[in-house]
Amino acid sequence: MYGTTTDPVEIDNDEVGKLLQFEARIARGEKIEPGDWMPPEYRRQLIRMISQHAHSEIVGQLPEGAWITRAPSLRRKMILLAKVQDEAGHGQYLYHAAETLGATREELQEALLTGRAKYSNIFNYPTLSWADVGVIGYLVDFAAILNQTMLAHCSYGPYARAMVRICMEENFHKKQGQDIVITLARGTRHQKAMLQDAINRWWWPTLMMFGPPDNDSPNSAILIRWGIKTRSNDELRQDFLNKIVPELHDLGLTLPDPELRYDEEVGNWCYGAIRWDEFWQVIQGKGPCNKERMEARIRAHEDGRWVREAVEAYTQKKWPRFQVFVQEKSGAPHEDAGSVHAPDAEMALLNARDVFARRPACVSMWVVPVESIYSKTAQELGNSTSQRILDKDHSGYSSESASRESANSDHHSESDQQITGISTYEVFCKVKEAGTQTHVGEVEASSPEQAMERAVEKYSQVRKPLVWWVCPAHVVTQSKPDEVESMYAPARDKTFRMSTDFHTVSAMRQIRDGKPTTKDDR
Amino acid sequence: MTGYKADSPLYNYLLGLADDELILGHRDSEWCGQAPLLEEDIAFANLALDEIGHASLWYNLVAMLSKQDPTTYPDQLIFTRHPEDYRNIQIVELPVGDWAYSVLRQYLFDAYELTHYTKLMQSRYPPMAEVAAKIRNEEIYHIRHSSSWVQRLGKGTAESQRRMQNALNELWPYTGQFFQPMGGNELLVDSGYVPDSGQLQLNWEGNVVPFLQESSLEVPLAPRQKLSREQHTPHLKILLSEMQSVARLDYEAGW
Repeated sequence: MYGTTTDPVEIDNDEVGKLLQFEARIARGEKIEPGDWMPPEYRRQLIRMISQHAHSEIVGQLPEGAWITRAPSLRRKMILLAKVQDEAGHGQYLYHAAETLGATREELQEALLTGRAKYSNIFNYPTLSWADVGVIGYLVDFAAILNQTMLAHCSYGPYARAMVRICMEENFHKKQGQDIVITLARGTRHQKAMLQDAINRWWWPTLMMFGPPDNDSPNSAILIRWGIKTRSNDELRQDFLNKIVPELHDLGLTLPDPELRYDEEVGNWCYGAIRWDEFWQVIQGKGPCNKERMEARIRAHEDGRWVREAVEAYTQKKWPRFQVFVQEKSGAPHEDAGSVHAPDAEMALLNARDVFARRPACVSMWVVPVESIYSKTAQELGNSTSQRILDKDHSGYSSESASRESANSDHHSESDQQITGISTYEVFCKVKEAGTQTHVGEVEASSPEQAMERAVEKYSQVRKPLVWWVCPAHVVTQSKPDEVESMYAPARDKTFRMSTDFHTVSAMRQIRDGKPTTKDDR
Repeated sequence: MTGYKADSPLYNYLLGLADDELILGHRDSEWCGQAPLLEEDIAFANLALDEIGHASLWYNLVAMLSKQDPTTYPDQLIFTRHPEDYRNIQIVELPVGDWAYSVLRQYLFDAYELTHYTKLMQSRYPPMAEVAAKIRNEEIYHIRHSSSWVQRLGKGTAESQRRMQNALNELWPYTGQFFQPMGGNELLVDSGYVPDSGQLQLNWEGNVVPFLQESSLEVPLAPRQKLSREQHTPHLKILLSEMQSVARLDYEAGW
């Protein structure tokens, strides 16, 4: 497995031991966390994949976003807005995952805007009718779910966690699309024609979303070997076909593939030849909408420059990144959700609310400047004394406004620390492989290093944590209890953004059972 | 259109509230994917969603009041009414402009809504008081967001201050319409259904003027317009022709 001549990784002899250990960890199903040793090629592949994925979400706002202002009912308008907002949110989660690997959002966006980085080809096709909105949600998001469900099990912790969050929301995306499709399929002759036309145009581009065939996919082998992907492009494509074709047939739709047939023997829907020449053309920027999409993003970036400059001038510093900890219900611990970019702690709380509390599972939030978090993985604790700070930007940051210590007089404040040298540190641990950093308690210490030592002493009793974070209590800014009603409670009423609000399963059952599918046959 | 009848001052008042929220939500939604920062793409979509959600609550009351089906009447009102039958104020129908313009409009409107709904919560018409209380919760967050931006852009760079000042100069005259009573308003005020708009104006100015000044902005002296809600700019017609374009393909079809 290791010694093949096509191995794209160049390995220093000294690193072979580390690599073997790394691959053994992946084989055991362990998650690799920032700070753990990883081959440079693993990091490079992840940054490439995650950023490509993030860019797809960002550009993906555009084709559907163009229909928000035209959505034909109030409910559809709200659903579509929520959906497009989720896509921006997913871009945000994913940039965060890439940032844990040392890439900055600025670098990643620069790569997108200069055309060096790619995004999914599917968004370079135009949305010509309202039916396209349904078909994108139903087919494109379903295809994305298959890919993302796989990635939720990937070996890199932050990417897997972002995917878990995304998958939960994508189910709503698919169902809202399917709901539109069902409505049109049961609608007037004109609506059915509009739907069929959309299916005809989106079918092949959707099949191409899974990427080139396995025999022409240069990165697949290494991605599978390192547990980033666990299924090949062709496997995922086949899975998609097997699931979607019968549903589309039930809806009375035809597919633009004369060779499509069911192979009883293997139980697969077999499809005709995909025009890969078109796929490569679109990747090279020659798709129907590449130019339009990039121009829109560049314009947004250029038009927004003065805004970003103004905020930097106001706070007199580069924007820090804030780690966000969410408390899902009263009494539960605060857990790491990801990070947001914000000029200061107040804006970070507002941004965090919009990014992480769109759906009702939040009663309180903490935001912490990323560079104040001192982190160690179990591997680092065991293997070396190397210690690091989460962000590569080490610029000093001092928290303003309401810090956590002000709410609790038992804590040593920043000024106490200046006098006594001792301050309170918050401790967060990840104990399960698929888990996340969870607040476990506090320690008193005179330095982050000492806080880490004391945290390990104090909290290693029951289960051995896999990753440790400590940060001074005074840099934690928390939402105030009296803000719950205005900040987090309103999400409870937005039931239309929950996948449970769509009754697509029973509607499909009715259709299969031959209930009337045509409301009006004009 | 069918079923539309300006049959009472209360109906008109509710329709005005609903139309304001809808049209502003529509404008906010135009920022989707175009905002200066990713976090603001998300925040503005959120504002749009909230405003449209508020519109929905008010349209439901309109339907209830006119004994119409709340599951169909709001869409009928939105997607089949002509521009001249809309009862929104002009400030919400103006095109998005630059980020300064959109953020400032949002702030001026949020401050108006917060003032208005704080009073409306005490309405002697219980359904109205209930909806106002619910919406006000979200408005507290809205004003926190929009005022943070006004402050940061007003005091940011020379360019951001200039853009904010331009936006204020352009938008200020439209704010007079916030407090322009509609026909039959006295009746509603006298019955304790809605607050007196003169008092609202004083409250609003008491909050907004000092805040703008603290944000390094000069409040214009220009007189403010006192237009009726039946008067619209040409922008509304364009906005509605886009909003209604799909629904108009077939009014009777389900979408």
